[in-house]
Amino acid sequence: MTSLEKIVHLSTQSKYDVIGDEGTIFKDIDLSKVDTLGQGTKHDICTSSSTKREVYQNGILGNVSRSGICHSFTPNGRCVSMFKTLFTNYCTHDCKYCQNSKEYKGTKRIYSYTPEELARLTISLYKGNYIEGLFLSSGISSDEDLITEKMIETLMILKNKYRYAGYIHFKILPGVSYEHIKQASEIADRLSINIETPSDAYMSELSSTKSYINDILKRQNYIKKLELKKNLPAGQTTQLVVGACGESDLDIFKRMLKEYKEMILKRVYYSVFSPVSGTPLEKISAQPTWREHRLYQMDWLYRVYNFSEKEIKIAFDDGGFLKNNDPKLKIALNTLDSSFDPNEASYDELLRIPGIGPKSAYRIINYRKNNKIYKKEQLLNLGVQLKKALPFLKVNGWEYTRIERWLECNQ
Amino acid sequence: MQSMSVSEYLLLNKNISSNLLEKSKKMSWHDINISADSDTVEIRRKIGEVRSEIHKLRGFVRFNSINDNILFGYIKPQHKTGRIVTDSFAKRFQNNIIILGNEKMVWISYYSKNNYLRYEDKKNLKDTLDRIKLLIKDDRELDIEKIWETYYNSQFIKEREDHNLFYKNMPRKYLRASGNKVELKLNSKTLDEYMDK
Repeated sequence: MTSLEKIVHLSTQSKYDVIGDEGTIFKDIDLSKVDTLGQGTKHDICTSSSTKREVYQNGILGNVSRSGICHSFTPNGRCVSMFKTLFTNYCTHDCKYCQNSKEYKGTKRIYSYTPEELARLTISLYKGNYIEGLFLSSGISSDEDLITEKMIETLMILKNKYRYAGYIHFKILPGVSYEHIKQASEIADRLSINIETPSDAYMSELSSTKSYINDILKRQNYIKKLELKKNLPAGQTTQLVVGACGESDLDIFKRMLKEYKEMILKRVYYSVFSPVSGTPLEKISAQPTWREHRLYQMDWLYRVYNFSEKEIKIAFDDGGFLKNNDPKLKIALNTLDSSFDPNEASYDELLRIPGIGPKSAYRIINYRKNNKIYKKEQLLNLGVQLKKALPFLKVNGWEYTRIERWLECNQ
Repeated sequence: MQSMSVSEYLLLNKNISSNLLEKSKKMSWHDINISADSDTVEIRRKIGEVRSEIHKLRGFVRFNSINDNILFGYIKPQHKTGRIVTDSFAKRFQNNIIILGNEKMVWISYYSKNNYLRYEDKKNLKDTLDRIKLLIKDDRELDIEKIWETYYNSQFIKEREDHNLFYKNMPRKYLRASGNKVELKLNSKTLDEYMDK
């Protein structure tokens, strides 16, 4: 321990922190700008701030976390980890679902940050511990490269002037040049460009100004190439608007497979469509949020549980939609003919049992090296959700019949 | 967390029996993770309580600042996590003094060039801040709560309102323990609580 006087004296000697007269910086800031440019990103679901980057340097501001941190939650229950904002809400695209679109009929004020202003706001929110980092997106003027230059300038101010080392998620704007993507990749933890729809045909229903292949998929491919050359610490991601143009869950699943297999994406995010008043789609019904939830479950089965494409397809109905029930349970009921003894099942077999996830499967495999599993309490202590798992397990010689299992799982 | 031993971590829990503590001294993190033994599961649970508090405080604490590089905020942890949380912020905000505390305890940490300077005292946070303002002859405070509140409200989607999920993710006990005001208003049942009385 040291004295309070000594610590205070040392800190007053440190002139490294150059933000200046913080007390007056934001006196005149237009809060409606913060509000409008914040609202422009609220349907962007990605809130992950987890990154593989390590921060060792002295004299810098901030660090990152491998597990990510939520600094707040909205009344929707969604994590708020970053200062998610548009650089400007001026946009020349005509996406029919979007409040920033040029087709928007409501009252709209156009705002833009300056790079310095946005960098200072980010630093102040960061030092207040309100955020884990910056998520920077933008409306797109006729010159996407020009806006991207301003966005990159913001990152450069953060990095060079404020020595900021916190998390950055940078949105690549459709059609932007390879050179600009390369520059952004050198500073950001994560790059993403939203594909919005599962195919070119669906995109053409929503926008006449965006080319799915040239403006979006080609840019994803640029990011992939850059990532393969030089590691992007939090990888590339994308997002789809679910249900704005009548696409099925199976259409989305097929696109998801391509994104993971061909574009080597870290994550695909799904945001159910809700109509915005004043847009051409204002009369279209909102999609239920459970649809989003079931798509994430399907995504996890593929990405984390290593289910095959063929297995997952069992969860879709004839029209290509997921029902509002657990897809893993549906797959299990249709594929698991007999019960598994937890003392003998492989890791992959355990993962296919409802109520057992990667963590509990790992625990079972390790625990049984020196112990025999003979009672339900052991499974409970290993993290298994007994109610879901028991109909598929054989414990101490006792097991459900197939009919009992159906009855238990369909209650 | 892995740099601390199981027993060191368990000691941060406010409510731990000597029996469990002794048992934990012989255990590795791997043992803790894979065991189905009831005592070990209890150790895992108690460590989970500490981890959860550290994680939540790291997320929900809010700082105001004095003189650019003195950051202060309120915390009232249930477990013995004040020091570890204060140090984690000092490392994040190098060359800034981090002051966290409540009515009865203050933790201070300063991290620069791979070294920590630490101070703690059983004093009131407000009195300590007044003392510091006298020492540096500066009492300007920056509070950007209004900007945060504006941004935070901008992220709300009316059609997706789900207060139960909000309460689950932002429990009142952690909001209070981290002096978090904006979100606590949403998690208040009475008008007095809402008005922060």
